[in-house]
Amino acid sequence: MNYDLPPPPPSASVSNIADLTYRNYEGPLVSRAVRWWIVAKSGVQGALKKPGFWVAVAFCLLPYLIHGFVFYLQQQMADMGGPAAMLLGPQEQRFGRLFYQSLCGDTNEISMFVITLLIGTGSIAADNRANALMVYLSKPITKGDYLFGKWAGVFLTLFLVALLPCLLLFLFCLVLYTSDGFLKDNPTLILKVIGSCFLPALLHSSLIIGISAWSKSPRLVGAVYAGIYFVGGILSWLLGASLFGSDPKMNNLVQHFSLSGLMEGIIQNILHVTLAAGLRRPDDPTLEIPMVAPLIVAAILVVVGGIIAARTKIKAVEVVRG
Amino acid sequence: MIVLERASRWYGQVLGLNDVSCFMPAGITALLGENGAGKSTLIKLITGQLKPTTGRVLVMGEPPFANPRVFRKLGYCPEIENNYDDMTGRDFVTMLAAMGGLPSSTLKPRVSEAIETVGMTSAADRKIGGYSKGMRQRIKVAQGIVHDPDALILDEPLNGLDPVGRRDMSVLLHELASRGKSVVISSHILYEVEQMTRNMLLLHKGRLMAQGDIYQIRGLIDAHPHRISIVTEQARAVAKRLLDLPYVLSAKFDATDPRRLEIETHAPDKFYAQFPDLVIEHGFDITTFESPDNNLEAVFKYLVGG
Repeated sequence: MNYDLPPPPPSASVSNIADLTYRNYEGPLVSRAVRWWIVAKSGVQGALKKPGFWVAVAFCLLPYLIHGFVFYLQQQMADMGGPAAMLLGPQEQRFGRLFYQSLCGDTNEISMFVITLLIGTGSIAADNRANALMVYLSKPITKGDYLFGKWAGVFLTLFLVALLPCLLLFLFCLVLYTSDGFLKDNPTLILKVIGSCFLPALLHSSLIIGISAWSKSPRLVGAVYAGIYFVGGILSWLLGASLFGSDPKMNNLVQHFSLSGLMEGIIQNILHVTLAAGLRRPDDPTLEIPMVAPLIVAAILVVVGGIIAARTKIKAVEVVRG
Repeated sequence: MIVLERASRWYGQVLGLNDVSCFMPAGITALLGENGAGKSTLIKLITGQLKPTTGRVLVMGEPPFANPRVFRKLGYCPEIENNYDDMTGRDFVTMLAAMGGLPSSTLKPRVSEAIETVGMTSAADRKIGGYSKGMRQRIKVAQGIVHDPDALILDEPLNGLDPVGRRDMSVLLHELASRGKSVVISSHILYEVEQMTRNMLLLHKGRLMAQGDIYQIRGLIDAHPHRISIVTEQARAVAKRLLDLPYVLSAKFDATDPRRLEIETHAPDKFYAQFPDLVIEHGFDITTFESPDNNLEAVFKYLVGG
């Protein structure tokens, strides 16, 4: 019998038994300039891994596809001299209205609301529940880094979800309607569109972070946020109708004092579009652009209030007062 | 390396920690106490999450409160269970390593090293939500050591670990200690930590009750009679032999279970050394053998004088 051992494999110099002993780290430790980005990146990555997020993103895309297609058909018919030109509205508002309808339509607004719930409710509440703030804040990052990172994680995700389809729609218009004066008539439209995408992301992220910081239950945060979103909308509508039923301008303004109303009102101002008449008379004042200053003040209050609420509550440890 | 000088911490009217002075040198220090003893407050003071109301806390010569320089030298492994479930173990350690200041160039290899050290390489790319309790403990330790801290604070590190995991954890902590690091372990189970270290801090109701070598602390306990419970079919014969030993003070039979015998001794170490020989010599059949005094509660009872 041959008892010769087979030749050793080429990697025989490396032991088959792993070295599990502790190894010192000899490299440097750095102070990152953008420490908040680590927290934000984790938030964005977490959002991208959720299947529900992608379903909501698909719903966000839908209005752009539909409105883009309808706009194309109407434009074609209008070019042929049909009555479709009336549906497109005034020439100077056509493209702004296209973006407004896509951004502020029910489908897009609800989808953005759902995405906010998916990525925002647990952003701080889940950390509170698990007492994980101690882990974060025992690292060399500040409370401000943590808060800004959490906010930026939600904000950037929402902003990109709103912006990317808008840019595609802009590209679509650029390709098809440049010869019809798209760029010439609307030289600042791209900036207005970016601003219009910025606003919903800003309002949603600031408010949800503010609420999330005050709870240990993401579900409760979701319920409160849904309450503010929907009940606020109904209340502002009732308030406007009951207090200013005889003053259509004020009625129009007050009806915008809700989360979705603020977004619609300010975006209407940014894009400078009146609404399509639908079943209402074209001279109905509620179709006009609402006053912007009170809406901006209200929006600032929502943003600052949300961030202050979060900053007040974020602590590594819960101090129990006896 | 970690020093507390007359440190107190009040939460409004509630006293979390009361006038505690102690020193935690390089090596393993166990922080023992029942729930509410002040262990968490002490850890929060050391990790810089709370500022002492009076007195001072120094970690590597600096006050840790909101001090990123100290945070860089600290590793903290909390007792959290239900977070980061959607992240993989590797992502979790990577995120916290980046927060700890590891530059991008060394992040990946160092994270792999830390994960390998805690024996989690094969499960590192699975979601934490699917981890067992022991695996969660290991991955938390990996994030605590990834930036090679000078001091490592672990809250109940042995919770959920199986015997092999406990042994591995113990080996790892000893290795860290042998490299000159301060390792502070918080626990409420005496026998778990006494396997790892002899240096202890005992907290009770916010006060430091005892500190130092475990045998010195035990010496305090041993001044009181130490109870040992034995279950055997030959309870009376065993009692007879044991009462011949000069350091056995009494023997008592259980009225409900004639097999159960409880003896009192003021020299438990001598008893534990001699008892096996006695059992072999006389051929006694011992079913169970335990000390109801060998737990933290009993230690506190003795030290508090209850």
